Amino acid sequence: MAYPPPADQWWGLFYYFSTLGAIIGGIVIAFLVLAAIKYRYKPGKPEPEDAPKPGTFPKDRGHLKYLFVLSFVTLSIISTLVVGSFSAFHVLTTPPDKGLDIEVTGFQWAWGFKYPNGVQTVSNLVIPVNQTIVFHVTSSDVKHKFGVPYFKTSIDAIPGQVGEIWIKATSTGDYDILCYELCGVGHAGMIGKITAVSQSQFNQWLENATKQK
Amino acid sequence: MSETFSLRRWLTTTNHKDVGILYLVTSFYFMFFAGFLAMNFRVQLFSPNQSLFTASAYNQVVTTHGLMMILWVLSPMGFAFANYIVPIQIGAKDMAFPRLNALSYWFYLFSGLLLVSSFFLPGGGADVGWTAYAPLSTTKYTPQVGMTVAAMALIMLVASITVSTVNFITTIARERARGMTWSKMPLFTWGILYTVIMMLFAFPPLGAGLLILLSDRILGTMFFTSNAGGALLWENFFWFFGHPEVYILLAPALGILFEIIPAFSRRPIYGRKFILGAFALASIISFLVWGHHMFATTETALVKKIFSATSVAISLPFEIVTIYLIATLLRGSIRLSTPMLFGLGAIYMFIIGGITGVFNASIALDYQFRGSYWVVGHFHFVMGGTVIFALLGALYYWFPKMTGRMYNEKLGKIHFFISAIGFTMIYFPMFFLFDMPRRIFTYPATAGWDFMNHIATIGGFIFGSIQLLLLANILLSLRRGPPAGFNPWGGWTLEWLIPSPPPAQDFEVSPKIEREEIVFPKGGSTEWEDVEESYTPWPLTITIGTTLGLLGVAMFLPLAILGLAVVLASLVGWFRDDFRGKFAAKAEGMGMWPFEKISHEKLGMWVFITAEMMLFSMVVSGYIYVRSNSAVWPSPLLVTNILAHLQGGIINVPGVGEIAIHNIVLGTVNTLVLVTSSLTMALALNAIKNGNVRGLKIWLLATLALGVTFMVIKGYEWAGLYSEGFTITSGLPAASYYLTVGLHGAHVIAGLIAIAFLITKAYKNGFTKESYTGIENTGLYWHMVDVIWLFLFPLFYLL
Ligand code: HEM
Ligand SMILES: [Cu+2]
Ligand SMILES: [Cu+2]
Repeated sequence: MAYPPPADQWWGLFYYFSTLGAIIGGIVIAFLVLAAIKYRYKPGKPEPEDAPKPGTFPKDRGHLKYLFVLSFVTLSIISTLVVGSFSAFHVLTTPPDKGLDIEVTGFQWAWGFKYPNGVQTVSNLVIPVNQTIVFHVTSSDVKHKFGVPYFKTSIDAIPGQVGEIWIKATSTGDYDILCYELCGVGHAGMIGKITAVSQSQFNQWLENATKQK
Repeated sequence: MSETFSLRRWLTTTNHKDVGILYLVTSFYFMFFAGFLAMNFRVQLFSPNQSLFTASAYNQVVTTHGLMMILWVLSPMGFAFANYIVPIQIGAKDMAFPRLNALSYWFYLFSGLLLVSSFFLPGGGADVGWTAYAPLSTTKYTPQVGMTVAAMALIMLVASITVSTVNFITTIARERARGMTWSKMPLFTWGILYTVIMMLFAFPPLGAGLLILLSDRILGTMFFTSNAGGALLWENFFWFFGHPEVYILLAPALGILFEIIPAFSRRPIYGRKFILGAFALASIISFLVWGHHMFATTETALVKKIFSATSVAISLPFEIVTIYLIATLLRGSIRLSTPMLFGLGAIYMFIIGGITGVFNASIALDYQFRGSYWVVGHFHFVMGGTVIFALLGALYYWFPKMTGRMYNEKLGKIHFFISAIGFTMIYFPMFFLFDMPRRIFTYPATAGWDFMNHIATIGGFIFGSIQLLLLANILLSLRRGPPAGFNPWGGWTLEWLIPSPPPAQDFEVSPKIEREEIVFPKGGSTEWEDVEESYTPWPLTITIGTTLGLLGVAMFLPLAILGLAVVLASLVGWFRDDFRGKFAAKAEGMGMWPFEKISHEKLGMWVFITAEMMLFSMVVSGYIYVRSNSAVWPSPLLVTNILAHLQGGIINVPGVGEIAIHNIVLGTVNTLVLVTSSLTMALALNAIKNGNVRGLKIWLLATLALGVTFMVIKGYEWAGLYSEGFTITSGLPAASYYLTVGLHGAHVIAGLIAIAFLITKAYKNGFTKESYTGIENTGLYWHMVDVIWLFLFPLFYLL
C-alpha cells in the first residue's frame, strides 16, 4: 500500500526503527534468557570462586575496553536514528509547495476550519485531492492536539500559538481527524472528518459554500 | 513498646524499620486501590461504545490512577525498602533525623488520603490527567474544588519528599559505619542516593508549578490562562519535574536489581564502577530532556532537535546498565528463586520499554505517537514493568529479613510467571494502537481497535487477579512460613549479618569496616538510646494540622485557622522535646569526604536550602517567562518612569493604562533592614560561640525586631498598592510581584517563628558554648532568606 505524504516518510522511518528495535531487542532478550538458563544452578554445581561472602566486600570486575566497544557500537547505531529522524522531521514540517492554507481552531469539543476566502466549516473539511494542504492550528480554549492519523502527522492546538503541519491526499475518500490531547469530557468525541474530492468537485463545493456565506 | 499490634507504637514511632513497614503497607494499599481503578477502565475499554463510565467519571478515574501509581505507589514503595534497609546497609543507628522521617511518612499518607477524598467532593476530583495540563486545569475549565484539593495533596507530597530528601542525603553522607567509604557503599544505597539527589532538584519545581496553579485557582491570578504564560509555561514546569521524576521512579528499582542479580547469580556485579558512572550520567541528562514531551508544541525546530538528540543519547547509559546486569549472570550459579525471577523479568521489561523510548525520542515518529496508546505502552513497560517487577522482587528478597519467615516459593513462582504474561498481554498490544488517542473514555466501532483492546483487558484481569496470590502468600507466610535465619540468600551486605527480623536497635555493637570485611568489634560501643524514647506524637499531629489547614484554604477558611493552631501547638511540643534532651543527636557515624567537617544538622540544612533555592529559581523563572512574553511591563529602566519610581504609586502609560510602579525608596530601606538582620544573626552566633549568653539574647532580639520591621514595611507597601487598585488580580505584573514577594514573606515569617523559639530557649539557658546547633542552622536559613531578597529586590523594583 502506498502511503500519502507525509505518511510515507513516517512509515519508512517507523519500519527502520522497528526492524532495528526487533533485532536488537530480540538479541538482548535472548542473551538474558539463555544466560539465565545456561548458568543456572544444578545440584552439585560448585559456587563460583568470587561468590559473595557474608560481610565481605565483593571484588570489582569489568574492563574499560568492553565499555568502549559497547559505546562505540551503540553510538553508531543511534546516530543513524538521529539522522533519519531529523530528515523525516524536516519533511514533516516543510510543506513541499505553497498549497492550500486552512486555519484550524480547536475548541471544546470540535474543530473549526477556515478557508483562505473566509468560508468556515465545523468538524468537516473538504479538500482537493493531490494538493498540498497546510494546516495552521490553534485553540480558543484549552490545549488540544490536531491529528490526522492516516497521514501520520499531528500538532498541538495551543491557545495563543499557531502550529503548522501539512498533508497531501493522493486518493479521494474520507479521513479521520482525532484529538490527541485530553481536553475535557468531550475529548473522545472530538472527531472530525476530512473528505478529499477531485479538484473540480472541490471548486464547485467551495463556490456553493461561498455563496451561502 | 514493640508489640506488633500496639496502635500507639505505629502512630508515634520514629524507628526507621517501623516507618519502612508503614510505607510498605500504605503503598500496597494505594497500589491495590489504583489498580482496582485501572481494572475498571479496562472493562470500559474492552470493546467500543461501552457505558460503564461517563466521560467525566472516566477522566477522574484515569487521573487518579495515574497520579496515585506514579507518586503514591512507585516512589513510596521504593522508599519503604530504603527506610528499612539503607540505614542497616550503611551501619547507621537510624536515619539522621528520625522524627522528620516519621513526618515524611505521615505527610505521604495524609496527602494520599486527601487525593482519594477529592473523589467524593461535589463535582468530583481532578479529571485532567496526571499531567494536569493548563489551561484545562484552571478554574475556568475545571471549576470543581476536587481539583484544588488534588493540587494541595500534591503540594503536601512535595513537602514529604523534600523532607525525605534532606533526611536520606544526610543519612547516607554522614551516618555510615567507620570505614564504609563511598566505593564500598552497597549498590541499593547508591540507587537511593541517586534518587534523592534527583528528587532534590526535581520536586521543588513541581512545587513551584503547583503554587502558581493554586494561585490561579484560589487567588484569581492568570498565569496559566493568559497567553503570556499559558499552556507552555505549565508544560515546561511540569516536564522539568516530570522527566527526572520517571528516573526517580526507576533509580530505586535499578538499585534493587543491583542487589538481587549478583546475589542470586552468586557473582559480583559486572562493572560496578561503570554502572555507577552510567547511572550518574543518566541522572544528569535526565534534567536536559524534558522537551521530548513537547515535540508536538510550537517550540522551534532547533529546540526540538536538541531535545531529540539528548533523549536518544540517554539510551546509551541505560543500555550499559542493562548489558552489565546481564553480563553479571555469565559463569554464575544462578538460583532462579522468586526474587531473581522478578529481577530478570524487570530487565526483560526494561529492554522493551527502553527500545520503545528511543522510538519516542525520534521527533518525526513522535508526531504520531504523542498522545496515543503507544506512549501508554512505553511507559507502562518501564514504570509498571521494570519498576513494579523490581519492587515485587525486593519484597520477596527482603521479606524473610523483615518478618523472619520465608515466603512460599511455589506460589511466588506462579505469581511471577502469570504476572509477566498478564503484564505483557496488557501493554504489548498497545504498540499496535498508535492511532488510538489515550485518555478517551470510549472509541467508535469503526476504528478497528477492538481486538488489541480485548487482549489488553483480558491481560489486565490476569495480571490484576494474580496479585491476590501475592497477598495470600504474604498472609500465609507471616503465620506459617518456616524461619528464615539471618541470611537465606547468602548476601554480603550488612542487613544479612543481623537477625531476622532485626531487633529495634539493629546492631548490638556498631559495625566497622576493616579492609574488605565488615566486623562487629568486641566491646565496641553498646550504648543505645532507650528505645522507649523514640516515640513521639508530633509528626502525626503536625500532619493532621497541615491537612486541616489545606482543606480549610480550599473550602472553608476557619478550618485553616484550626489547622494552623494545631501545627503551632505541635511545634511547641516538638521543640520542648528537644529542650528536654529527648532525641538528642546520637553519636555520629563517619562523615566521609567531603563531609568530614560538617555536622549532620548543618548538612541537612544545606540540602534543604538547595531545595528552597530550586523553588525560588523556578518561581522567578516563571516570572521571567511571563514577563518576556508580555508586550508591556512597567520598568524603571524607562527614564520617564524614574521619578515615579522613587515615590511608588500608579502611573498611566499611554496605550496600556494604569500600572503600578514599586517604591524604590521603601524597597531599599527594606533591603537594608534585612541585610542588617543577617549581621545581627551572625553576631548572635558569634556571641554564643564565645559563651556569651547575654549577647546571644540581645542579638537574637535585634534580629527578630528587624525581621518584624521588614514585614511591617512590606505590609505598609502592600496596603498602599491595594488602596490604589493594584491588586493580585490586576494582571501578570501584579500577580508575579505578589506571588514571588509573598512567598518570600512567608519564608521570613517562618524564620521569625524559628527565631522566637530560639529566644525562648536562650532565656531558658538552652544554649551553651558547646551546644548551639539551633542558632547555627536557623542562622543559615535566615541568611538564605536574605540572599533571596537580594535577588528579588532588583528583579521587581529596579529592572
Ligand atoms: C531509553 C530510555 C528512555 C527514553 C529514550 C524515553 C523517551 C521518552 C519520550 C521521548 C517520551 C515522550 C513521548 C510522548 O509523550 O510523545 C516518553 C514518555 C514517557 N516515558 Fe520514557 N523514555 C525512556 C525511559 C523511560 C523510563 C525508564 C521511564 C520510567 C521509569 C519512562 C517513563 C515515561 C513516561 C511516564 C512517559 C509518558 C508521560 C506522559 O505523557 O504521561 N521512560 N519517554
Ligand atoms: Cu481532546
Ligand atoms: Cu521524559
